[in-house]
Amino acid sequence: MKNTSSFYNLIVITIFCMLMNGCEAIPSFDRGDITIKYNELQNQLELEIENGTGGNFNYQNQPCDYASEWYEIRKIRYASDNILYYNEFLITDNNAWSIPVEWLNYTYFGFGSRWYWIQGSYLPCDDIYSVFTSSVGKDYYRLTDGELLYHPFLDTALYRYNVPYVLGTSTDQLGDNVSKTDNNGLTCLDCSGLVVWSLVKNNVDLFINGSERHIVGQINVNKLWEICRDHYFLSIPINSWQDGNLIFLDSNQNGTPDHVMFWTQDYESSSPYGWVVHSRGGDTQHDINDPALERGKVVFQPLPELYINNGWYFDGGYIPETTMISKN
Amino acid sequence: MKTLLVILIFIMFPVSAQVATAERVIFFEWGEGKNQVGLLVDDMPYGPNYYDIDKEGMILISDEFNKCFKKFDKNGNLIWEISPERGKHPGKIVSLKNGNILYSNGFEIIFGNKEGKTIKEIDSKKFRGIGLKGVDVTDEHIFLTGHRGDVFVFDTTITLQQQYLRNQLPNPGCFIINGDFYFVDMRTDRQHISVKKVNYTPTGLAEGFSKAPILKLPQREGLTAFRGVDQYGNLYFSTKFSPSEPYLFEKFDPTGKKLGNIKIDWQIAHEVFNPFKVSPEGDIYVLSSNKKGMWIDKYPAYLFDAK
Repeated sequence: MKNTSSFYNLIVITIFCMLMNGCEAIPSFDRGDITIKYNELQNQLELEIENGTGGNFNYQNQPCDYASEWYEIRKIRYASDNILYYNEFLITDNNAWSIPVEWLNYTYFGFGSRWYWIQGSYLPCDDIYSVFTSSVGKDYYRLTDGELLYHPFLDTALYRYNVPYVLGTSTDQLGDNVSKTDNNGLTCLDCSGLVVWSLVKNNVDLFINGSERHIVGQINVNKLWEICRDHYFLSIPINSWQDGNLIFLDSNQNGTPDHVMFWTQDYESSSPYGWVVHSRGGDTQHDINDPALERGKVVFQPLPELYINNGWYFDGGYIPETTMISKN
Repeated sequence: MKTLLVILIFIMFPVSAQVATAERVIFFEWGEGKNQVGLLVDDMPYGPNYYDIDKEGMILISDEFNKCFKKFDKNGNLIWEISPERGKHPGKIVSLKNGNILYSNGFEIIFGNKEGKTIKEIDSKKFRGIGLKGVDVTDEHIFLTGHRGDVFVFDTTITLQQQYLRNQLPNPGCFIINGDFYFVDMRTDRQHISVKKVNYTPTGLAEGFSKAPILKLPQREGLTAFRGVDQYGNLYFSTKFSPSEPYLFEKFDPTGKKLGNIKIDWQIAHEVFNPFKVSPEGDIYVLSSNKKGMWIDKYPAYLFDAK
């Protein structure tokens, strides 16, 4: 028996969704759920709409009448504040139930996380379909072609590729907290947040009591440097850096590190300048041809010579992989 | 006593006394004006990430923060300006030997003439892994190297002729210059840099690699980078021994014989990729900056000959 009144209601939805399982809701609805799923076989993104009758998912069937606009959210961060703005979009594909994952090209490596905003409406074919809401997940989904960096910290850090950078506690334009302490630090990350999250996920004991959530939120760059100093290794010469080493910078030259990055060898050009994985401030840029320009998020880019030449290099730290279980 | 101190300083720090003197090519103030580049925000410079100098000495700037590409003459007068359409932005720009240009707007790789007019476009999304990490153009081929090391070979009509994934290349660390593949290995032997030069043929790259002689160059205890090759086949490497020391630039002939070196004291206040360029004549161009603006210096080739 169809509910004709709801059948003919055109439901307009506005949701924010983070790929894949991680979603942040803006409006809240009574029933149903929606998630963006990556269909690996089809290499496309699909909307997964919860079956309103019992919580089962049905994303095989396209609604009878459906219209949607897919946007990729990019973070715009202005120097004067620390607010996350979702005002730059990349993909607009009207009347789509699924979209091809062309953005794999954007990453070069086929990994990373993307945030999407979908705005759409549908006219259900039957009363199975109901309204959309979003689901709140705990993790991002990483796409990979199996060519990631063969170091556990780096590999883990790259799960967060594309995650927006936000320093400490901040809010977005809608007033929601996007602090790195939220959702186990998954919403946004600053530079130390990325490093600490990567270490914690590999069971490194960072000597801070409390939950993982608290660890990520409590540690800043200087604290991380002190942890290396007191429990692990520092003073790694610049010509002896190894994959997974921590590179500390002091860009304002006040004797305290203010940025931290994971370093890795540049295997393609064999340049010892290498590449770095770090959560980097600044406005977001995407350049298919040049990831070196990307910023405002977790990036994988060549180490800018500026960092070394200008004396910003503060220290090289090292936490051995062998401490992944814990260290006394 | 003071004299003794000065002498001691010179004995202890001979490097600083040997830093080469450059010729100033151009200076740009920060700003949005016609003959300015970049921006100064809160006393922090946001300057161009990329530049190039064409065969006529004209200067190409990718002015990311003013959202345009600019071409200036030798006196800093603006010749043309290209603004990518909304949503796109200026990326790397390269001048080609025939005077044409090649640049990225973040989504397409665009070939233009010397007036900046578009000739052809490559949609990056159609060639996964393509990029502008390396660019080389000969009379027959266009070589583009992506950021994960894949090499794309196009003919001059921009038709893809050959594609090498990085694991299909005989060895990683590939630079293509003047149509030759240079395989540079700095990791296998920490005492030496190994270089193999292979002439490109569509099917003979692996064979050429196996037959090519190995050039063994000394590897220094510092951060060494391969900077380029001039038209005579001479190779240039730079080494940064520590943050406080100048760059040591070394020049080797095609047989590996060292021809000379200079020391370059580099000053930079903004982020730039590949600030050091080797011209076909063997001059070294360097982009520098401070809070007032950015400038390009030239270290003429003859400096490497000075004893």
